[in-house]
Amino acid sequence: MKKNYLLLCLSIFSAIFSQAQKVTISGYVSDVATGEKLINANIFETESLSGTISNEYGFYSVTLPAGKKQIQYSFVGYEKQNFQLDLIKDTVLNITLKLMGEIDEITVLGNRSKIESSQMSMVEIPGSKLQKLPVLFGEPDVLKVIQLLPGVQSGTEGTSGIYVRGGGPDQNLFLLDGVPVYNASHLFGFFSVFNPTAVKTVKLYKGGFPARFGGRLSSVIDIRMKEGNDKEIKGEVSIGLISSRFSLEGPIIKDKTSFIISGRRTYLDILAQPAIKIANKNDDYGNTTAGYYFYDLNAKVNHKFSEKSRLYFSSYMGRDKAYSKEDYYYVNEHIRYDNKNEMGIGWGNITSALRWNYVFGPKLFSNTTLTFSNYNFDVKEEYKTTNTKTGKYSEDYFKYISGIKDYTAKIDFDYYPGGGHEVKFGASNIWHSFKPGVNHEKNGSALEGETTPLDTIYGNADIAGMEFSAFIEDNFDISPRLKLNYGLHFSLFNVQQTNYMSLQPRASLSFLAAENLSFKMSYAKMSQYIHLLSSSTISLPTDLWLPVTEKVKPQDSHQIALGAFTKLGKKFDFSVEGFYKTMDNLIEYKEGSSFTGISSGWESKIETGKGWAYGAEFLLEKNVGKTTGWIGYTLSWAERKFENLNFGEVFPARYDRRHDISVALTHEFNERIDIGVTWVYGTGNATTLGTQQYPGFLPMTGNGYYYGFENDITYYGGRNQYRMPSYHRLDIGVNFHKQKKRGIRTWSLGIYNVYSRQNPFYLYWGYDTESGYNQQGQYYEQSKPALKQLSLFPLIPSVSYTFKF
Amino acid sequence: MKTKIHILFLLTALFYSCEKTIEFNGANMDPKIVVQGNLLSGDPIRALVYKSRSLLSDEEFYNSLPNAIVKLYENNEYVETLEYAGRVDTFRKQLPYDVVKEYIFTNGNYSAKTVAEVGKTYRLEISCDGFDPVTCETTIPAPVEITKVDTITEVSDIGNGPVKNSWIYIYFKDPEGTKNYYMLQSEKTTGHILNYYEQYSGESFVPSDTILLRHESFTGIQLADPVFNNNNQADDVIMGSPDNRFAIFNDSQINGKDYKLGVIHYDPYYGGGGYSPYPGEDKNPIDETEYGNFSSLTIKLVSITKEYYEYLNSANYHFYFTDDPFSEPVPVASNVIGGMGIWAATSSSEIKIVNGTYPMPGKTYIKEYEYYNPY
Repeated sequence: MKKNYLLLCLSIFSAIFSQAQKVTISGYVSDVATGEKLINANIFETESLSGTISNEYGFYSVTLPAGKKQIQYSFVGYEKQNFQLDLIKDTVLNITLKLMGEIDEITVLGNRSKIESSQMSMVEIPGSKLQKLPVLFGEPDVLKVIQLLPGVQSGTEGTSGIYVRGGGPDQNLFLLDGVPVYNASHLFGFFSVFNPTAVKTVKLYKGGFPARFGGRLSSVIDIRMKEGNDKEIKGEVSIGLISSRFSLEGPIIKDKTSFIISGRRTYLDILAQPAIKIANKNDDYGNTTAGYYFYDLNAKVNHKFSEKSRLYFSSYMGRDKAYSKEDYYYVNEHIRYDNKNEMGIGWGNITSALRWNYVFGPKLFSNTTLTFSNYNFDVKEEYKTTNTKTGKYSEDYFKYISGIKDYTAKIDFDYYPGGGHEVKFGASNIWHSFKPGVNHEKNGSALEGETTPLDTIYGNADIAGMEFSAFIEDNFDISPRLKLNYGLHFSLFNVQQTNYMSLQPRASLSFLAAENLSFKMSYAKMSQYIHLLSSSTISLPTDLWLPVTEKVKPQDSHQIALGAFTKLGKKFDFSVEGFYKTMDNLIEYKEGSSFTGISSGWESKIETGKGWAYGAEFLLEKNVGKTTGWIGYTLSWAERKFENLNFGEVFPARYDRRHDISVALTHEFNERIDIGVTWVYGTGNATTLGTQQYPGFLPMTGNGYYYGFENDITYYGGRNQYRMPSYHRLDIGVNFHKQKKRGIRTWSLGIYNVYSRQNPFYLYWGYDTESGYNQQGQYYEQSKPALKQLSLFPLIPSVSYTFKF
Repeated sequence: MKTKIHILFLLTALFYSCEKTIEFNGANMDPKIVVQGNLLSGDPIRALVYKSRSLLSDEEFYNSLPNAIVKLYENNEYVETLEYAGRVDTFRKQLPYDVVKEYIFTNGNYSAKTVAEVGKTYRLEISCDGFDPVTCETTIPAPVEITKVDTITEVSDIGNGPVKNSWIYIYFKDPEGTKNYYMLQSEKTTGHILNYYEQYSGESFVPSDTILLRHESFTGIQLADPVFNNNNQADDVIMGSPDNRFAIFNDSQINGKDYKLGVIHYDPYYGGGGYSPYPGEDKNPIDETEYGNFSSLTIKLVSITKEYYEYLNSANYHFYFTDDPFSEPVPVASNVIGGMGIWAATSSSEIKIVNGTYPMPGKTYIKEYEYYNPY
């Protein structure tokens, strides 16, 4: 038996590595004008149709039989290139492709790879698409475009939270150039932290996760930033209603070193200053100011040491800040006292990555990365009264800090042994440091001779964790019709002298049943060692990132998916996927707990349970021609079961959404005008709403005088049992471009919520009041209970000006 | 001008929110049977039977169900059918156009002849036309005796005048082998001389022999003991008033042990001027207990059923988080299958600490609210 196993291994090994009479072509595929590497470009030999796609760094390697071959290089939106080669020995061929002047009706073979590829449950959005679709306040947003894809549910209105295939908001791994970003939202979730100007491409994986990814249950959002134009200086400035942004890129040493820097900042706080000043005019004794802003800054530098060696350094820094300040004085017994009250809430991420790409040979590509990621959140309140005569003061100071810090070292390899195999393998180690909430309090008064100020720090202790992972995956073209991606992801998490280990098998298989029809299936096990303790319907910075501990176990999921992919005519791609996912060790706040009491003992305030989700996703896409876009439809169920929530009964997850439709279309009339339209429809969110009331039966004391007071208990009939009204909205945006002397200017006009639908944000029981004069001329008021709906955004026009040079 | 337009745009856009009434289209709006009852050993069994009311209803009162059939089972054997003994009253509400609407309401009281006994299980099976039938069951827990009481009193001053704090230690033994649930309650009654408030400045004061009894809404028992930690009541205060009239705990930390449970009694009246039943530092003669002023603090250690514990625990959270938009609403636990409410059972033991003398020979005691509201 052992002998047979050895023989089997040997034969597989020899099948992979014996490549007699074969030649390898390798190199990079990049944009001719900018030098920007092209990810997922198609490279194939036209006769046998065997080929490959370029990796995240634009590198490719394909091994073919020796002899005369025609190789075609193509990429969506670019002119394809054919090369007649007489393959005698291994060759390095760096290819540049040219962007089409105007997207025409040419069918690009890139679409075909989507049908053939073993990868399923993945959607790629090029950065250029992000700026064409209309969004809230005219601010292009990566996550809001992702929300338009089937299988992805948006959170509350206007927010950029995403819920993938019944998963929670913490189960999405946001990778910005490979670095995890923990809180991906600005302005309480209404904007994401990813500045679209700097984004090259976005890939969303909802299932069928390749083994190289790990650490989250529900999705991977792999965002790659532009590298910077290595030919000439280019830039972009955009002024919008909410924020302005800029981007500048260019060579430092032509064809060798390039950079890109981009940033944006909101200016609500600055614009509001005149109004605040006017408001303060009437106050002789003080000033009040308040404001809110966020900014982010992306920078990336890359240097080519040689054709084999490249170094990248990228960094992101972003912060939100809301503040109020009040200065006033009063006079008491001929002494002036100055009062200063300050309140601030801030949060932000800093990430950095240093990456070194090295090509060991035509078949081996390596990537070594060191990253740093830091997310922190703080709330500060300070009240200070100073006696201006003596200088003595009284103080009341409170600060709350929480956050998470990661250091990562990672190495991975792409190995192209030929024979239809593409092997990726690697390992990484993350050193996590969690700060789950620390309070700093100072108070005391020296005004009246008291000298005992309190200065204490208390809260949850910092927790250190170490996460090691290793993976190997093979993308194997078993035959021209059958492709398999299989692999293993191993992870180990060490925390508080406890080790958690997980071996996660992954597999995706595709079968090309006809030239334009394939069937796919996938299985993935995922494990997650950090939790987001979230209490609210919107993404609040108070949401706490917490590690697994001795008591709180890792989350696990198993997901299977089946799908069919086809082309309808020459222009349309159609896919349907069904999925079933189970999740264990999910956490939720205990009933009645909320973040307001989380300053200590968080482990005792949570419940663990399980969840599952299943459904079907339909996607009709058109990626070529003047009109492009997609229509997506999702039918899904997402449920949860916690022993101590909802009395142990199954309940719908908060974003269980039966039907979800999204239409996202762009049309280019000509070089000067393009239009984007989106329409979304979703079943209303599940919410817990009281239906009945009954008297409480609380213990009485004494004479029972108070019995019956404030005793009505509301009956809910189950957690998340009520459906809010359905959500739908139409957005339209038009871009007017004009070639100017020094560049292209674009006016973007947009309307969010064109027909001003009042979508539900929050429901509550209130009263309708009727009043007037009765027949006797007496004024009366009468009220009756009514269900009330709060909505956020009506029709909102937006305008922005962009200049590209 | 442009800036002004921008501000207008931004403020409108960012802070616009609108509210409207929408139609409720969910299920669970049909009223259900509500059962309430607390069985006490030695007392006849009683239950209150109501119907719940829709949140869309504008009724002022909960209507009882006088036509319900309430069957009582003791240790799984049918005993009797409870009789309706509700008290009827009418409430009149003035509506527009001088319309007066009358609401007839009753307290839904059903009573049995059977007397509850410790250790026995009592089940109700209730049916009523137009409603889903309900059942509920409870077993009367044995009381846990308070074996000893200690008090340590200290007077402190943190800047607002002297304050008297008393540590009160209650000794009891938690029964072994069973999971036990408790409730701590306190009651405070004070007595003061009738004519205290009727004296005039400068007049000589002759204490009357009539003492008014006041049920204090503030008993001020601070829950300093760690047994209260497991349901977030640590450092809370039993007020005795509706806000907080009880504290619950279980034996997860003290199972089978002899336990000394400590609470702090905080007396806000002490030394604070005005009326005080205690001897004050200023030695105002009317504050002296020799004239009949007193305070009486009763602390009850109540054994409760698990279901009642869960009901009270969830009800506490339910009321506390009702208006917190950052918290999921907290449903209240119930042991009424098919309906709502609680069918509870309790047994208690108590201690009383009297400061002063009560009753004092020669004094007449009148409840304060009866004295001022004789009708």
